[in-house]
Amino acid sequence: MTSAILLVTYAVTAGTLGAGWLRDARWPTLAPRLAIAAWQALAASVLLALAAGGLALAISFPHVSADLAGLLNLCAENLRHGYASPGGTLTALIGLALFMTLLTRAAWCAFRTTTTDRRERVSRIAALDLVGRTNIVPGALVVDHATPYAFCIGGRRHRIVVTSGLLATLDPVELDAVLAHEHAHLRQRHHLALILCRILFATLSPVFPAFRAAMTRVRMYAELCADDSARRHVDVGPLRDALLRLACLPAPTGALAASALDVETRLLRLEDRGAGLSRPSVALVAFAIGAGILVPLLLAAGPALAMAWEGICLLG
Amino acid sequence: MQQFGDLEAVVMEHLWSTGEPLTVREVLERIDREPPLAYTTVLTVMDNLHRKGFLTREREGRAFRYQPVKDRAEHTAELMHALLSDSGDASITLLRFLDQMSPAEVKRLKRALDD
Repeated sequence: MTSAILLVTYAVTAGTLGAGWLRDARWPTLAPRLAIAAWQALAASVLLALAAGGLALAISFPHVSADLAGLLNLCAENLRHGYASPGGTLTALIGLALFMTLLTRAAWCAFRTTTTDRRERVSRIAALDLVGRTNIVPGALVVDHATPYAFCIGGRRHRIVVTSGLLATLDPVELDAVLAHEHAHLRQRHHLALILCRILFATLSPVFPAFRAAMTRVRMYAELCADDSARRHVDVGPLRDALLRLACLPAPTGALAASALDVETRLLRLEDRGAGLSRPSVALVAFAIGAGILVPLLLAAGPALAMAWEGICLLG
Repeated sequence: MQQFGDLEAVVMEHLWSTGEPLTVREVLERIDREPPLAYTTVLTVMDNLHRKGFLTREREGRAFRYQPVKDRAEHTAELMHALLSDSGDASITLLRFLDQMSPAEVKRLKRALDD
């Protein structure tokens, strides 16, 4: 019971306070790659803790412990003491319901996200291949369209797409910078990271509202990662110029998703060679990420580990 | 079906640039490939395109004469509209270099940069 209480308390705290803190934190723009990992670890941690908590409540140890004790060479009595649910059948059923709900929800989110993504990816690439020209810009598809756009579609079959409008707006050096940014997305396989994030956040969002804003954050961090990576291949000036020129164009109708603040952040980061996150901070975040995964596992296995350590056995 | 992907683009390209309905044989003649394509290959591709709704056809004797349903510009415009009207959060397949900003946001950005 202690195990279950600790796990659920940890999950709720991490899912509400922890997620809220990460959502409002300032450091992610200094270390976007780490920030994406932090969000993934946080969500995975909450999921693990809830699942383990439900399982800890659900497992009816009087039936199981005899075998487990045999396996672990521990005293059945002590195990039961650590994991027993005083509520009996009711708490066990609640625990089982929690575990099964979570498992089903996670599986459903995973299934839906991956199939939708694959279907969209395949149909979009097919449609783009039909109208796009490959002989104008090496490594990219050019589509006849007046509005400047540049985007990439990741995956085993991947594409970088630019419109004729973009070719007309940017000079060759700026175009190279934009292409370097898109190549960075593909090289770093951001689409995989985003799919994982989507699955994790979608699983938790109904119960933990703080994760609803997470997807937007993570997409922004992916852009920052691509900017950082592009800087290693092209001069920062053209990249910044391209971003500025494209941002200030009058926008036609369509999804108007970007905020001035986001663009400003990107421009400022491209302006000065920022120091990034300090080493101690990086170490701290990395530690927190590792802890986030380990803590639920340790809490779940805690009583069993403690007893193994002490080697106390009442019955012999 | 995957292997025909780039052939579909080639066939559409010829039909769009010619601007008039063509039979399978006429398209085959226009495609310059080494080794040359088989008639049945081009037939299959054009049949697929018809099935997918990109081409219409009219019977002429024993063969069909195909033409595109939409011209290239219409096709592209529809495609771009579909691709880019997805709300930022819904689509994770497509990563844009820059999401568009509303006029108010553009104004806000310019003001912030002038400071």
